[in-house]
Amino acid sequence: MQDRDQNPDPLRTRELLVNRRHFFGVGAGALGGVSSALGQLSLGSLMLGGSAKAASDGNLGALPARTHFPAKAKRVIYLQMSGAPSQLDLLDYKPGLRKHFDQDLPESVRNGQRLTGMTSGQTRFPVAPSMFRFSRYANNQDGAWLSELLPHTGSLAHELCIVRSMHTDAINHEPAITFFQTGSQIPGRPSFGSWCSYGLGSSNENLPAFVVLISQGVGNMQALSERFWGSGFLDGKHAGCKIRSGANPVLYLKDQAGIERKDRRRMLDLVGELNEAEEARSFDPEVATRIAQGEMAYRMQMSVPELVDLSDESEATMEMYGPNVRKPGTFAANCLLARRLAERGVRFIQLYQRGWDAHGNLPSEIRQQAQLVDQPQAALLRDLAQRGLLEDTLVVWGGEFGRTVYSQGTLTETNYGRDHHPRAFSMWMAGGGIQPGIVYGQTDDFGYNIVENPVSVHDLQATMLHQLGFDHERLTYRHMGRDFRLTDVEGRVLKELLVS
Amino acid sequence: MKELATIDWADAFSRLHPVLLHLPIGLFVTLIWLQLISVFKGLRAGARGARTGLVSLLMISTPAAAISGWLLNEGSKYPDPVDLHKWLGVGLAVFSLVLGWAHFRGSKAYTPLLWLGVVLVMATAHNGGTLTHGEGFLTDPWIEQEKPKQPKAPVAASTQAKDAGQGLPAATLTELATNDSPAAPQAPAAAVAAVPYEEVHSVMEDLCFRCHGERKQRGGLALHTVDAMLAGGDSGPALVFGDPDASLFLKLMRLPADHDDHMPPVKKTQPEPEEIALLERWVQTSSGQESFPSLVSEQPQAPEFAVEPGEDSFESEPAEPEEQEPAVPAQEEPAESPAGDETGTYFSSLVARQAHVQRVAPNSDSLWIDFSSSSLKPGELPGLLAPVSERVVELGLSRKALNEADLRFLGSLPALAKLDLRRTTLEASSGTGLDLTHLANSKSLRTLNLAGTALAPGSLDAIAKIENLQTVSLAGTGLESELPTLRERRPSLQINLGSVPREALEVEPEVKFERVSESE
Repeated sequence: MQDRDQNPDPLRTRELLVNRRHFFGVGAGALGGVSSALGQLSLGSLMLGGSAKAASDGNLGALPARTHFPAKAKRVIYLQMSGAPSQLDLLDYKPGLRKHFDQDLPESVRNGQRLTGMTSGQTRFPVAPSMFRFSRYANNQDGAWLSELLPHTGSLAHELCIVRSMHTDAINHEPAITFFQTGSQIPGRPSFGSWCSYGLGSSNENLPAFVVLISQGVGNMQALSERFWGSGFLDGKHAGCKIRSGANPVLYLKDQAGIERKDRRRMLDLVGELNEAEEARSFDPEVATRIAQGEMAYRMQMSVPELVDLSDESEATMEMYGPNVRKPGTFAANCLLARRLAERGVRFIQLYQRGWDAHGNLPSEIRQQAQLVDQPQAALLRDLAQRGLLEDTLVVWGGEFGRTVYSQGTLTETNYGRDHHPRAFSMWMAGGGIQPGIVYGQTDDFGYNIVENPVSVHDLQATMLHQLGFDHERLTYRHMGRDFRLTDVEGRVLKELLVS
Repeated sequence: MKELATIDWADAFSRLHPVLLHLPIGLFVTLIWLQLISVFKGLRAGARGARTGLVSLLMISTPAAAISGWLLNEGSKYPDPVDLHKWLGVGLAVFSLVLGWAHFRGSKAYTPLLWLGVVLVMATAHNGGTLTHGEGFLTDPWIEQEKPKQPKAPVAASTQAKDAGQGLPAATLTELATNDSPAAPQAPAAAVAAVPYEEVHSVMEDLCFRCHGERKQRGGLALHTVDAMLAGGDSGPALVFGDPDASLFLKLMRLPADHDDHMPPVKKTQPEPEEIALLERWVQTSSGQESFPSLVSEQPQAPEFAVEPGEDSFESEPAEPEEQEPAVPAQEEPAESPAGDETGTYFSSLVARQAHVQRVAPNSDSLWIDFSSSSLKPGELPGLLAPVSERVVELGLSRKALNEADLRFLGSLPALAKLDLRRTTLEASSGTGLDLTHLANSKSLRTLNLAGTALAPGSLDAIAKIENLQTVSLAGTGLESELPTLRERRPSLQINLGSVPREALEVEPEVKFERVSESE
């Protein structure tokens, strides 16, 4: 209740915590039983259904609705291109630039915009047109132009909603990704996936609602902080769970040699008792999280091996994703895993592909980077579509910002670099009730400024939440005396992009 | 449990009053009995021996009952009649000590004192019983019920008009009655807005919940939830939907203020006539099939559970109107829908099986149920879903084994709009695939996902017959060759076979950079 933050009376706080403990007791009762999911879910339902009283009353009010209105998308697969791919070489076709090769970017275009320290010292800003050929693919409008680097993705242009008018406030990787993921450049807010987990809960109690998969790139790789998928001030159990490649997909999940599953059960029961005693003493909500996570891990010991075992995938499917799919930890393997997670009811699947930060040698780096993602991401879309999953899975692809039209460093006909560019860049979405086969928004002739239909990060988040069944202004969490939202105080649902 | 230091001992002790008070009653009866059997010489010695123990217990228990009663009264503001009970109780406690003194002194006064005590304990007990069970609790079965006086204006109107048009809302009826033209055309019932339960709740909160609520249930009656009202108290159900006259809570509220049974008690806040009318209209127009939000009392005194901060922000508010599922018409009868606690238990049982159950929107009764991460055995489905069969609009059964009974059940679900049968199999697959014949008659089915599910021959015929089907996913069903026929029969049906990559429409000629002008 609100009082906890607003009312500093320690007795009142204590009373609330006592009740809170009572509240967790509902879950704890069943934890030791055969079906620990009962406790988990009844707990989840209490939290998500709003009033706990409603749950105890037993009529239909007991059942959480979770969403504000019927959802178009049941889950999100977010393909985050870490480092920020160049929109000019992939999605934002600017053939006119070819005539301006190596000319100075007109000051009227840049208009005094701030630059990063990496190019602010440059004496000139020569225009670097893309050296890649573009092709026009059929969509539901007059076609979409995509670069030769994305032939597979292009061939599915009729499924994509390409947004060429994204803009962000941040100019460096860390705050920009933080902004995209949490709605704020300043760390500490919950990640999108955590909001999803908080709002929607899982539809599979054996897997976390928010899963993170990371693949390495070939280009310049920026660090990925774990807090990108952190739960901020939400309960720790809403944090993203990273699934790794190799023998231990989830760290510390495997039992040590000689430990049997029943031993693990007994250990969990005992530790659970101690934790409960500690919680009774300290009222620390993190202890409750700890108990829940222990139980989740116990269930994941069964569900994760089945998840990562690809032996039931057909040869045709594997082939569709390309040769890398057999190498665990690649983007291809992660895309396949994402589809398997989607099938199993995971709500938010966050992939990171590192290596897009091409300040120099962009042509060679982006060629290899694109090769890593193009076929697998197209295969993911096709795989989802043929399983009838694309209609309620929202796939989002994009970096944290764009790249400059002018070259960073030396510009030659076969080599150039591009610096960070937050003012205009491209992303795409597919499925989940987003209109397929359209291109939205437009940039100027230099691809530098947006001239039509700008889309802010908060707009994108509001739209995604809308598809998940949430009014972004009402999915809130009270913390430190105010209600927080993913979209902070902004965001507009882009109704024009939605399937009516 | 609370920690000891936080417990309000006085409060805890006061709640023992209903237990403790029975000890003196029983002891007095027993002491009298001992006195009576003492006429037999053989029993006299034993009776005397027993008396000492009993009298000493009386000396402890009577003051204890009195003190707990006193505290109970302090803690809650009972109405005035408690005064009498209070002083009777205190008197009885003192009297018990005097009686004990007489016994231990061997005084002759013991016997008359005991009889006097019995009178006193009867008076006190009867007075206390009346406080909790209400006036006439003892006598009611013996005397003819006094007919409540004919209710006043709005009620009279509604009673009259009820003869003219059963089930019409009271507001309309009042008009009819005052116009004195029973033949006037009846307004369609749907035109009169139903009273939201929230309003009812907020009216009753001030009037009733202090004594009939979560915390206190005078006369065994709570009124703070619809379920509690239906369950009623010592005098039976308090609420009968559609019948204000049979709804006891309303009946007592409408009694004249000087009537003994009038509620709320005269000294408490009295309802405004509009408020009575609102409650009446609610009772009249509700069929009882609506979903009544369970509203937690705003009074912070007794929160049973603390809710996570921020929770309130996304329940209770109405969803965006344009996104709402069409509300279920009130006259519709979900015959099998379980009520009350059964429902809660029912959903927990589904959840315990790892099924995902969720309402599709806050104001909707429609359900999305997904068994894809649950272990579901063939043939289990009809039994599991029977209680909610009319509410399931979306059902996920991917990767499950089904049998014919399951499929027949699926075909009979009246509201099922979206069915996910991805990679499902037929039980002990006898070579044939899933037979969809039973789905052919579904009127509600709009989206059907059969991707990766082997289908029995003839299934496409069944699919073609599903009247309102809009989308069907058929990749990997082994029936690709029959698709042209399906397309011919159902040209508007969207058949999803996955997304097919398309060749580029045009390719840019080789990239050439043109240096229009050199610049340094």
